Amino acid sequence: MPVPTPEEWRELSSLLDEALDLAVEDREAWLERQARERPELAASLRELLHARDSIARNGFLEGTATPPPVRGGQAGAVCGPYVLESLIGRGGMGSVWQARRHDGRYDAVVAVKLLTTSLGADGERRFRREGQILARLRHPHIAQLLDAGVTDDGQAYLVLEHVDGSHIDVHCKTKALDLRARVRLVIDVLAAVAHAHSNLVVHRDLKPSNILVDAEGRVKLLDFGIAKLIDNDDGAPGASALTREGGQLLTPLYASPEQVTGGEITTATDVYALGVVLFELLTEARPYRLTRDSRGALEEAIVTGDPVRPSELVDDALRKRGLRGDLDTIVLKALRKSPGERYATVTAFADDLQAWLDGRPVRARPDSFGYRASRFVRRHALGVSAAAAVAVATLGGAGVAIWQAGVARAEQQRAEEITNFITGVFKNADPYVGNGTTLTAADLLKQAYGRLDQSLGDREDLRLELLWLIGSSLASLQAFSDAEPMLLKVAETSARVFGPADARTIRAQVSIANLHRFRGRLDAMDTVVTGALAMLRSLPDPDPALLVTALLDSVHLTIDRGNAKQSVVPAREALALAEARLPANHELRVNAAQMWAVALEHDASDSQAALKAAASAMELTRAYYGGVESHPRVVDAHLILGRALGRVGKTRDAIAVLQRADSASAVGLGENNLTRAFIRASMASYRLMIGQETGALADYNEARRLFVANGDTASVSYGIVQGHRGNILVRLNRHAEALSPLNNALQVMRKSRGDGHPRLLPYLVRIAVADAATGRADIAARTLAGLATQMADTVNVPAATRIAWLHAQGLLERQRRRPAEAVRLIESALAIPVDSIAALAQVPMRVDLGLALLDAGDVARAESTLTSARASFRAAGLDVTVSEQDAERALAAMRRRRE
Amino acid sequence: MTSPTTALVRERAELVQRADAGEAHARDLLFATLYDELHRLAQREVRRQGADSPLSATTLLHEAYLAFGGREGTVFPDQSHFLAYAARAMRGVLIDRVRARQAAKRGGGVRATTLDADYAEQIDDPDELLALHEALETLATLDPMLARVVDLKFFCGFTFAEIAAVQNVAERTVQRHWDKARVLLRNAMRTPTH
Repeated sequence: MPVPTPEEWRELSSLLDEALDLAVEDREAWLERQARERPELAASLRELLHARDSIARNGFLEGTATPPPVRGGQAGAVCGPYVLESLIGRGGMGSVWQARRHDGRYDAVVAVKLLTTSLGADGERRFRREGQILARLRHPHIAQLLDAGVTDDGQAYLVLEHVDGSHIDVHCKTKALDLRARVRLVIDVLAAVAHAHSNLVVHRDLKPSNILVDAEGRVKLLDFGIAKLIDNDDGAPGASALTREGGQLLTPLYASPEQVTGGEITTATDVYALGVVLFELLTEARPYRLTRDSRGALEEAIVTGDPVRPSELVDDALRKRGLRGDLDTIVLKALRKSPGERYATVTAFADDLQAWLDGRPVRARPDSFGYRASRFVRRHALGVSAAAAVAVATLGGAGVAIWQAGVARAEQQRAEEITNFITGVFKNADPYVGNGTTLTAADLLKQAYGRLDQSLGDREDLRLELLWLIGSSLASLQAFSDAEPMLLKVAETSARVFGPADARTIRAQVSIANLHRFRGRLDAMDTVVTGALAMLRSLPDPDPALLVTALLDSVHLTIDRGNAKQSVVPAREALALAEARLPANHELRVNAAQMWAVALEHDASDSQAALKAAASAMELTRAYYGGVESHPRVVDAHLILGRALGRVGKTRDAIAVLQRADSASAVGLGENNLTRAFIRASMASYRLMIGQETGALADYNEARRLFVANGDTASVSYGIVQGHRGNILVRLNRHAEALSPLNNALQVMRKSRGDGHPRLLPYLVRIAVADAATGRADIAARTLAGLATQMADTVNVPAATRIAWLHAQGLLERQRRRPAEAVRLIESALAIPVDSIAALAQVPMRVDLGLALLDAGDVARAESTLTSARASFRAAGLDVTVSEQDAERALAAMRRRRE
Repeated sequence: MTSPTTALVRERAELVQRADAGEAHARDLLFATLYDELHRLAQREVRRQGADSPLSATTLLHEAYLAFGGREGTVFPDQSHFLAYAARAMRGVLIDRVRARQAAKRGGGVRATTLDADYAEQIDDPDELLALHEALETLATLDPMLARVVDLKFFCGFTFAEIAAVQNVAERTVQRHWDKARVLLRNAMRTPTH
């Protein structure tokens, strides 16, 4: 198709739009019509539709681009001392060639594997060094690694013993081997793996395609330790569990739970993979029954699902009998979720298999208490901060909400440093490490705790210090139930030994207060914070850092309890104290500045002052974190500044600042981090204020995706986001789509606030509106009427909610063709006084009033109402919303009727 | 990451305005500058983490947005603006890698760095990628919106939702643009012998 002119393109483009909407059966007819009406374009159109079919069949531009792999490799190419002869195949990490030495030294045929990944300078050094180590691995059942090198153009290659054989599963099938023969083969495999393990080499990527059997029935294992050669990070899952085959990510069929969750790879990982291989060889089926055919389902099954008993998968009676009992038990033991519960060594695994062959009892024991796969869940070490959570302020039914920001990650880093330190200190002493048992940092801390009493004798002070360190570390790893008794002990003992006024005692109490906060125990927190503050104030010279921390905690408390206006006083005191008494580069000064800005924001009496405070907090934060924009604390500062800008009406500026926060957050914490959800939600609410409805919806959609990606579909924040999505969809007249998110939001709110809580009302109202628009007017009417009693309570129900309720009833009446009633209801809604920001959000309601007046036949008033509404839209400089379009259409229709 | 000076920021802001106004030279200069920035950031990441690290194009873009825009972010009116230019520059970075590799194969001795991420599928054929680039350049003259969506989705790895958010349009609109772009590109890239 030649390049069209701009005019041709305009036509072609809209025709293409039509074409893309067509069903296959209608296409021919449509094409013929186009051939008649626009013959000059018909040929192009046909071509385009052809292209579309081709895409549907073969795909095109699926996924995203990556630079293509380095493809050394043509017959005749030279790779170190070898010359490539013919391509054997495309393996997981590159292409494999049959090759021969060209210097005539040995006349051996080898296999040369060209790796697709390119290594950095460090990577190359390591590659060569590790390659030499691997080359020393010699065993009759292991394909020998002969050489590992890098060519001058940076092409990494491996030279391996050339093996002629078939994959073990294919071999077993084609030779129709019986159970015993298969088990014997596996024992050979295990011998090879055991040899490698005793040389400290873990395979990491065992699977049938890496286990060949030659013509004489001899087993040869390929690619030992190679996954590690090209991994950057020791212990990272890297390419092993997620092997690429010709560009496609393979399903992680042989990946162990720890590989899937990103945990440590040990010899136990190989045991698991061998368990899967054994399972498949014995049953010719996969261990996990999946409800969905997706990678995610498989990963979930690996981590939390129970494998099926091999004997249950086999129909043949003879086989079933052979498998049932010991063989079942052996396989399942290798497939345990927790590495520590599998066979400790591959040799033990092989021994049991041999015992089965010999008819002797096996050592593996089925779990007699009803074994269920334990959840091997990776703990999310969300850092916690004393002073960075910011509370929600909702502007009710106007649909604008300001968000609860995430938690600062600075503390996470500190906690990680601490735990690394502790891990380092205890690692050598601990007999469990290095035995294939995976310990989490929290486990280690708990072990350290257990060790405290023994190793410190009567060094009470040291023990207490360590106890506090361990307890607060556990708390920041969110291991609250473990941390709590420790911290309580520290507080109690410190009070006894050092006195209640001692800094160590108070420090412990402040930690406990934070713990209460994150568990939502606000009353307990209140008691502790009040006590700590009182104690500090009673001292002649209290530690300023402690006092500031305690004050900031009390600010948090007031905000979390919804008494935001009371936060100003302690926040001011904290800031003054921090500025006066703490050194210039103390981190708490940043916290105090940020909290001050937040307190002013909530106080809401002087938004200009709040803006100044926010800007100054931003300066301070940036200075403290050395211009690193992506530091989580800097992101928080952006968030605060953004909201402050929003409150003074500089909405577009607010959005711009939040966009920076979004980018910074993506860089600093990764693209799927949860803070971005809150940033996006804030952006969305501002977009709504300037009428960018579709933009706001897109932001809320993204926020939702981030919540889901972080495994959160139950928190109040998630519920609020769903609620907003629903609201916007209603505004965009996409009522049917709105019902699901709105109901979701209602569900979440119900759970958190309880039935009958006023916070549920806006959702109920909105659901009714959607119901009414999707043909369930009666249900809607009943719902709205049923809320009357609650709505009468003007103390607990915000005005915005009542307004929304009246408005909704008005819409319903209009739908039921009772426009006079509709007018009355909407007018009463508009009569309720609101502040200027909310007034802006009410313009769509005035449009609805105008439309109702039109229905009622009062054309004059309708016209003036709609005209004034349109003027308000324009004056506010909003983007054109659905509502404004409705008004335009109605006014245009009225104009036409006059003419 | 040091911030650009105020003078530089002003200069850049002016460049953007001129590019927006349609000045071809300014546009080229802007692309080149963005390209340099992205390239520099990519190199830095590769040096720091090794060529195998999962460096994503979108992360690079976030970093570039911060670095390029200065502290006040006043160079580009907003993120959508930035991305309109930067996505195209990102494509440039990727395509140049491909070209460099092809040159290396012929014995240039240039070792290209890798920009990689955990993407679902690769284009195996560098020639196809280059052909795509050519086709996109043509498409960009016809309908810049369509080319932009391809840049953002395919070369930079953004999701439909993210693109929609940045451009302030409905997700469905983005999807439609994508579908149309694919059809046109597929058509343009078919070998003449078909």
